Amino acid sequence: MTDPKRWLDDQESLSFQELKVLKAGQKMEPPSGSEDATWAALLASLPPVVPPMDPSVLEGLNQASAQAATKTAAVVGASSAGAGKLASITGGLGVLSLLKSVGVGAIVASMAVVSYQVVVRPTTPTAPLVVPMPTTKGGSTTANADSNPVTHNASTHNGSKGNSGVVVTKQTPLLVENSPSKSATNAIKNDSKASPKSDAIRNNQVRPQAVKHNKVNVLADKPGAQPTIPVPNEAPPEMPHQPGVVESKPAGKEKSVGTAVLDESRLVMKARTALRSGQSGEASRILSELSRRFPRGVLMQEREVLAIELLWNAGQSGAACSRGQQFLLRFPQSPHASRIRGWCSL
Amino acid sequence: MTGSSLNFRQLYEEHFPFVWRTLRRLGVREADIQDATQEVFLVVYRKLDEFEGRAKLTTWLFRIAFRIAKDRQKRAYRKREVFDEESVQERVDPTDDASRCLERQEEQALFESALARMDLDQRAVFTLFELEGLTGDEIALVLQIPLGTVYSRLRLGREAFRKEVVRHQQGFVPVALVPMARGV
Repeated sequence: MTDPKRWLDDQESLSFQELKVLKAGQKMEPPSGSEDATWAALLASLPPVVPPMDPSVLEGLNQASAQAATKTAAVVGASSAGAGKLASITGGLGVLSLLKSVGVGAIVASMAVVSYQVVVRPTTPTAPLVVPMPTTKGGSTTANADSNPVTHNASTHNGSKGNSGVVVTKQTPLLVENSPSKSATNAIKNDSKASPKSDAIRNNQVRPQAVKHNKVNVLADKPGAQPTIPVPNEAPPEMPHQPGVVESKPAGKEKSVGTAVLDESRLVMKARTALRSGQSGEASRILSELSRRFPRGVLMQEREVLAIELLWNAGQSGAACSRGQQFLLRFPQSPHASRIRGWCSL
Repeated sequence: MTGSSLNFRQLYEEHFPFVWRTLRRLGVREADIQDATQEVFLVVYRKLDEFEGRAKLTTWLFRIAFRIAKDRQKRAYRKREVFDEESVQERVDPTDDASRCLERQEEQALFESALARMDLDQRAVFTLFELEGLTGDEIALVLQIPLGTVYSRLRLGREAFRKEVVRHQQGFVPVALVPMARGV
C-alpha cells in the first residue's frame, strides 16, 4: 500500500476554500505569552526544592582554593629558598602569607555564595528547570483550583522563565517522588489520568487596598460542623515585581523570603491535597493558617481559589460564587478567572 | 537523541508550539489548553529518561498529547461538558487589518469545525498526515494501529473536512462558533 498524496502537496485536488482552511489549520500557533504562562504553571506544579549548588559557583570556589594553594606554594617555596639565620623569619612570613591566602580564599568563596543567592541566574544546561522565586515585593500572588476535583497546582507570580531563586533539576528525584501535589503525581504516574490544572500568574494584576480577614463558614468533614475559611481581602504588595530585574537584597533577607515562599507553597499544597481528598475541615484549617501566616503571600490567589472551591464542594454555591465575584473584581486578568466564571456562569 | 541527553527546558521551548497545536487540533478547547499542555509536559518530565530516541521526539510527544486529549474527552463526555464559545479573537494577530482578522478568524473557525466533525482517531490521522507530514507507516506506529486503518481514518477525515467546507459555503455557521455538545 502506498500513501495517498498529501493535500498540501497536491493542491489541485482542493478547492480554493478548502486550501485556505487547511492552511489556516497549519498556521495554528499558540497565543503570545501562553508559553511563559504554561512554563510558570508547570514549574509551580512541582514542589520547590532547595537549590543545588550551581556548578559555576563550585568552579569559582575551586578556583579560589587553587589560587590560595598556588600562593601558599609560592610562599613556601620562597621561604624555603631562604637560608641560615633568615630561615626562621622567612618561615614565619610564610605562615602569615599562608593564613592570608586562606583568608582571601574564604572571602572569595563567601562572595561567590552570596552573589549566587542574590543574582537571578538564567537556566544553565545542568539546571533544566528553574522555578521562579517571587520576592515579597512581587505584585501579584497566585491561586489555583479548578472545577475538576482531581487536579490543581500552584504557580508563581512571575511567569517569566529563568527568573528564579530555586533551581529544580531533572536529577532531583524529590521532584516527583515527594510531590505533595496529588494532581501532579497522578499526572506523572498515569501519564494522562490527572489534569494538573494550573495557571500562571501574570504580573501586576490588581492591587486591592485593605488587608482584612473575614471568616466564612463552610462545610466541615463532620456533618453539622462549621469550619471557617478566611476571606483574604488583603492587598498585594505595593511594588510590582519587574520580570528580569535583579533586586539586590541582603542575603539574610533573601533567604528568609525564600523560606517563607517554600513554607507557603507547602501549605497550599497541603490544603489542596486535603481538599481533593475530601477533608474539608483540614483544608479549611490550613487555609486559615495560610491567611494568618501569609496575608500577603505570593500564593494568595491560589489560596483564594482553593477557598472558593472548598465552598463549592461544600454545596454552598451561592457563597462560592459571591466570593468568586469578589475574586474576579480584584483579579480580572487572573488565569483562574475563566474557571471561576465557568463555575458560576459569570 | 536520547532522554538523558535532552534538556527539559530546551525541549519545552522547542516543542511547546507543537504540543499546543496538537492538542488544539485534537479538540482540546481554548479554556483547557494550558492545563492540557502542562499535563503533557509533566509526563514528558517524568518520562524523559525513558525516551530512547528510537522514534522522533515529536512522535513521542504526539503520543502523549493524544492520550491526554483522549482522556480529557472521556472526562468531558462523562461530565456532559459543553463547549463554550471559542475565543477565536485571541488567536488573531493584532497587526493584521480588520478584514484580514475576520477572514482568518473565519478560516480558523471553519478548520476547527471541520475537525470537530471527525472523531478523535480521525483527527489524529488527518492532522498527522495532512498537516504534520507523517507517512502512513509513521502514523500507524504512533497510534499503534494497522496501516489500513490509517488510510480508512484518513479517508473519513477528508470526507468530513470537505463536507464542513461545503456546508460553510452553503451558508451554515461554523460549528466552532456555536456551543457544541461533543468534543474535549
